Amino acid sequence: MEIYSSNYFIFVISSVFIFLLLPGKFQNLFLLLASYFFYISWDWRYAAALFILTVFNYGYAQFLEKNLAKKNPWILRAGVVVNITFWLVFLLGARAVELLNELLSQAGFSTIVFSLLLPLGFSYRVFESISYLVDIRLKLAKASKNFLDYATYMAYFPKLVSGPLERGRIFLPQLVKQAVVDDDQIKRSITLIILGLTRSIVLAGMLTVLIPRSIFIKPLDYSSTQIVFGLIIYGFYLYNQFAGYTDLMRGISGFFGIQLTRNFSTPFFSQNFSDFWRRWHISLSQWLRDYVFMPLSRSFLRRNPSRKNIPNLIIPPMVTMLVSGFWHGATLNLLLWGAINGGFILVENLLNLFVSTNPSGKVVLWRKLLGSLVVLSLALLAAIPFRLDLPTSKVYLYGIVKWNQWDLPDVRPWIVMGVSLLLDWFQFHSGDEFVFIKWSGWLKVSLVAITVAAMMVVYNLQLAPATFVYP
Amino acid sequence: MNKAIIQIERRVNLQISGRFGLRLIITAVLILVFLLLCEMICRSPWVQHRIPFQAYGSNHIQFDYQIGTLKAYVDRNGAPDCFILGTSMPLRAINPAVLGEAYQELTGESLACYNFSVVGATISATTVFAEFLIQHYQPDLFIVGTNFLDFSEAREKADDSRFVDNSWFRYQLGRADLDGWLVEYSYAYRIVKLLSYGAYAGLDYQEVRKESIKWSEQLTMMGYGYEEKVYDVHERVRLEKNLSFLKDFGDFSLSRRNINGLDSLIRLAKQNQVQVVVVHMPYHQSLVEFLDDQGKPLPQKQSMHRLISELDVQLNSIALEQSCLLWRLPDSMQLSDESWLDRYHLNRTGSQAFSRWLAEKIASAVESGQLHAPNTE
Repeated sequence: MEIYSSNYFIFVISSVFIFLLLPGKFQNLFLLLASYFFYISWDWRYAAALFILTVFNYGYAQFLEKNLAKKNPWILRAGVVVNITFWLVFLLGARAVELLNELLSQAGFSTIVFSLLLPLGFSYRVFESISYLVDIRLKLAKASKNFLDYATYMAYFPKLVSGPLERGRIFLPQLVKQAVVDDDQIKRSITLIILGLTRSIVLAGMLTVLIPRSIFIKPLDYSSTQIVFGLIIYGFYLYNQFAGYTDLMRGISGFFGIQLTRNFSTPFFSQNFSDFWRRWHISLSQWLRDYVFMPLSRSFLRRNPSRKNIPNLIIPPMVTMLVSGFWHGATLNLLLWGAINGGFILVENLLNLFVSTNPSGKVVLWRKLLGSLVVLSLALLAAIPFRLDLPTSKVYLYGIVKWNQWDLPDVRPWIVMGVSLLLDWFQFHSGDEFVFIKWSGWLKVSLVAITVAAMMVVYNLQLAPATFVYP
Repeated sequence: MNKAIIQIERRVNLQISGRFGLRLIITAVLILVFLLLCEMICRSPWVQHRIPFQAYGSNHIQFDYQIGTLKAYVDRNGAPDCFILGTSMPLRAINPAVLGEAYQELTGESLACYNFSVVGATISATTVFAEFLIQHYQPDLFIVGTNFLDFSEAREKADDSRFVDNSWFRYQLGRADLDGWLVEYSYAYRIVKLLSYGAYAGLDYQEVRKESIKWSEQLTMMGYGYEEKVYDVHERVRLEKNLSFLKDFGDFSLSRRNINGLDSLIRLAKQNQVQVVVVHMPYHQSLVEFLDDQGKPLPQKQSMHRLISELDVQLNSIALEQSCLLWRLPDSMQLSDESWLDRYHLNRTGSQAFSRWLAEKIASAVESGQLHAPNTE
């Protein structure tokens, strides 16, 4: 069941209605069933893999809690290793079967007919499972005694496909807490849904249509100006697509009385890279900070608590970003993307050692703008290997470096990107994600009506087949 | 504090105040009013005069014109007796006006035909068109124009989704489809569909405009694709062109998908009491000479001729099995050199001769009892 489809729309609407009509004791069970129904609609094997992961972690969490008194670190590590192994089997399985088949056919043997495919959103589930076990070990959370609740946490459909990555200790209590879907909650949910659809369907959709069609396939067919602008458009597309998706899911989740983590917070207004990662894919960044960066950094600082502990300035950010790259996909280009971003943070850490900060904390406007521009430009450059494989990344970068010609950019994507920045600016300036709720009623109704019409247009733009031209 | 109008005791409770509930309803109504206003504006003559054609979501402009022209034809004349189906070959070769006139001259009876050929459509997709035409217009006769060009490897692999998965078609065939319903009834939504046609070219509408102008000039009100240009049949076909043509045929095996498509089309027609005539579409002999630049035959020539013979056997077998008529222009009736638009499309001159011949064949088939007169109720 595709997210942006009438089927999903019907599924969500009917789920919300049934959920709100059901007696309290059946509400979580219904959420679980609806979530598995949604997952099975993609592929029943995905649901089977998720169920196995759920059963294992539920059982292991009980075991871990019973053995909290024991100091043996391997009790936790074993659970984490099982989760990672399970993930790697799927993550690397498809490629491994492919390689094995090549070897088998070269040796004259018959090839293996099955392949392994990473279940949708599985990387999120594995990271959630790991944090769940770690939190229990660190006594930050208690193991869930209710399998139904735990299974709902793992399978909850609004976060199933692309997050946000939720911590058990924050999510699970919401499943037992009384909640009210009142006027304020509905306003927030509707705002998030409209904002999500505006970003993911209207803005990201328009950018998909307006980006030169084969710029990421044959970059050298385009001028350097187009290659640079193509990258900027891609950056805005990625942001609007992902941030819009998360907002949409958060809005839907609000109707089930569950608040999901905000995943993006005006990242293009970041002043530095550390700030950028506090604003971009927040749930993953925070997970990496808490479960990779901090433990590593703590271990370095235990040995040498100095501010100028160079290994501590280099290794934890680099490892954290490499893990982030690997989490996005086990490919060399994504590892490179991680390494480049790790490099940016590392350089920033080293610079901070030598550059004194303004004690008043006030930064002049031009410095803010310059900071945002530098961060955005470098983040976009790093996004080349995020979007393309290594050989094409090289060609793309060459296309920028050789700089063959200046030409006038197409103004239309800039209008779309301007709207995207304007939405961000309202939120950034007011410091309130829901600033739009305070706008006048007539303005809101007009904007919603225009959004609905724009969605119809852009949705169709994206679905249209290529023009048939009679030869 | 507003009093809650809905209060249900659950773990997660819904509590909407009356005032807020009313606001939600008013918002929904205002959005609906806005959309209706858009629809009214799009229906206005001012807007409609600026719309080149009604778009049905296929992004195939000739197809959209074909639908629009057919609707206009039916509004004017009622449903036609027969439909011509196929690709660009029958579109260019069969002129229903000439066919009707000749038939009337020969029999004294009228024959109202509409040419519903769609360029680039496969025979397999034509089955969907046939299903739609049967459901909506209950014709008496289908004339399916085809030849070996419809059964190449390229046609086997051709993507028909623009027709087969078209939401408007799905709706027309009785399936529940919101998108198809909107296309059918909303002028505004058809404009949205038209806007989507430029999406593939980054919202550049040059190609759409060009195609639109071409079909508005070439498609007659009976769906025939009119073209005056004359091809120089004596022009030597260059090796490069021959090789590119042959590439479409891959390993020279017949497209099973399209053979089966033709079979299902005839079966479907028969089930619905629609008679079917399959007509071999003519092509110029130079098309199958396959010479290199020195004038020597290419090695692929034999494979190609084998494919053509195999197709003949297959078509004969289908015609026999389904007891439908299969006609081919006799060798004795050569089309003049001025009849060709290119090596496998006829121009206006060629189509006149071909349409007359077809009318004669239909008249004689009716007379001999092989066909029931298509214009009788």
